[in-house]
Amino acid sequence: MRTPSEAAQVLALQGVSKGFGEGRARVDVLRDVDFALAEGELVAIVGFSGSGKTTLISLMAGLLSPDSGTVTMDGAPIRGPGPERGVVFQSYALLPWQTALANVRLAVDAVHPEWPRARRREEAERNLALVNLSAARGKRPHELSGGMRQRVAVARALAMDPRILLLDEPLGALDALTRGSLQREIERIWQASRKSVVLVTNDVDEAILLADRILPLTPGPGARLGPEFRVPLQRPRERAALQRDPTFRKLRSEVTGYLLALAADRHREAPEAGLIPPLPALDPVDLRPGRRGTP
Amino acid sequence: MRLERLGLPVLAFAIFLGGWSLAASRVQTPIGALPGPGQVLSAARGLVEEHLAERERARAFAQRMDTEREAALALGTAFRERHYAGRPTYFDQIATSLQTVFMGFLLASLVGVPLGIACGSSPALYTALNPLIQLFRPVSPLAWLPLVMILVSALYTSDEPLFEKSFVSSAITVALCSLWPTVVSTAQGVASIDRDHLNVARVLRLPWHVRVRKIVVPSALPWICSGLRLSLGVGWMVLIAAEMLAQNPGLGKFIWDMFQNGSSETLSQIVVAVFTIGGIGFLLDRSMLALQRVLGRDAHAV
Repeated sequence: MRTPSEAAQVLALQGVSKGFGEGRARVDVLRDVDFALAEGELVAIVGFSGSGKTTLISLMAGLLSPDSGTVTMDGAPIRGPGPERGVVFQSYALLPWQTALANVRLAVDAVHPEWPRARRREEAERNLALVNLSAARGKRPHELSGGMRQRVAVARALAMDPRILLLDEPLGALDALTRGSLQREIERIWQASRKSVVLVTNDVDEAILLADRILPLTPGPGARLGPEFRVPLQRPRERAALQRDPTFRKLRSEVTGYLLALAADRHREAPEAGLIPPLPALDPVDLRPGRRGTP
Repeated sequence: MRLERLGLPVLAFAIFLGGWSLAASRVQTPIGALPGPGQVLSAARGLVEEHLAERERARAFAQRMDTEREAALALGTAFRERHYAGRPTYFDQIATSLQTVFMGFLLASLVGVPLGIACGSSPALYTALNPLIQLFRPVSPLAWLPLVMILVSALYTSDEPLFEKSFVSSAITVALCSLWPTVVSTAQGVASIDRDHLNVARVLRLPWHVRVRKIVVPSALPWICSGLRLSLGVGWMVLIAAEMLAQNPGLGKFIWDMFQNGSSETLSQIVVAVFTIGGIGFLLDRSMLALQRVLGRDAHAV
């Protein structure tokens, strides 16, 4: 296990706050967030939906700039997004009118414009093969399953040859079985490429399975990063075996317990927040005479 | 259901024809009664025959030229080539109208799509231009045309003009009136591009021309297509008025000439023109719809 102090920091956030809106409608999404990512490390950020996870990853990517505080890469402040921080978007953001290969090719062409055409094509093919999608190279996103789309998005991010890979709930929209196989694939790709990875997720098991460290994000508004949980499990980690591993189970109950305690606090402080008042049971009836559907 | 879909329009059309022929015999004008469906049909047939006869004359003339040329060659005498100076038939006029509307539509697209993309990608530019767009959008072709004609006469001066001035004026007027749906629709399409797609472009640091080519245009294509379809519809509607005033030898001029003639055939021929204009407008709309379905990736466009 490496920590930011032992290895070189590639990405750091210091006292970062970010809010949206003006005046009374203003919402402080993140307040005073500190974060550091070491070279080659895989850090998972775990939080509830709506706690500001996407805002946090957008700040790391440079797609948003902080209201206060600094975001630095290798010690230098970030000025906007760039391919050295490859993003896998929650929605995948594949171009629907282009094939899987062309989507990856877009990244290769942007990052290596000086390469000859054949080499760029080869590089796109190589990245698609890395996620086991060579057979689907000619398919458009709507012809692919959710898991395959996700893998194209990962291939595109890898094709940028980034130093840091930012994964925004990459498996959030997938069914449990597909999630399982893609988690294994993400671990394999990360171990092969040795890139630094930030993984944002709402799945504690996924975080423990993949990460070196887990940082919980407190529920917004004004979300902060909580205390870190180190994951001292050997790699490769086998999902089935982990279920019986006492370390895994202890860690899971600690992280889950921490998040649930935060949520309970939140409700005690502001009972109306996050709660939807129950609706009266209404059954609409069409009162017009002679209509189909009225008894 | 299928019977309703086919039967009801047929029934409605039959009632329309019946009402028309009943009304026609009762309405008297200084140049005769309003023509019924039968007279209009025979007027249409007359226009087709006239076209065929004119083509026959042109062919005969060309043959005569050939024989004269051969004779002149054989005798070694001078031969002066002459061109057939027939008047344009109804079908020539339709062709002229179509050429004019496509020229205007092309101009409108060449200006409208880039302008729409610029407006859609820059909120500041859209805010700046919106009042101007709203100001010019409702202007009638009849208001633009005299201005355009004067400008064309002043600026489009060439010894061997590629196009007639009347053609250029009509096409520009069509463009000025049909530009706006394309601009507005394209701008809306560009403004509603998926934020994540634009974020991909930002992460990849795509230069603006690549961003436009690879992301903006393909994304907004359904909107661009529906804007172009509206534009062509407006353009075709506007064209007839423009041709009447500009004397561009198309369907508009045909109607105007018939109106000036005041012969017994006038009314039937104008009605034929009305149906022709409607039919061509319908076909243009259908072909744009087909284009919209293919390019716009929208199989359910209506």
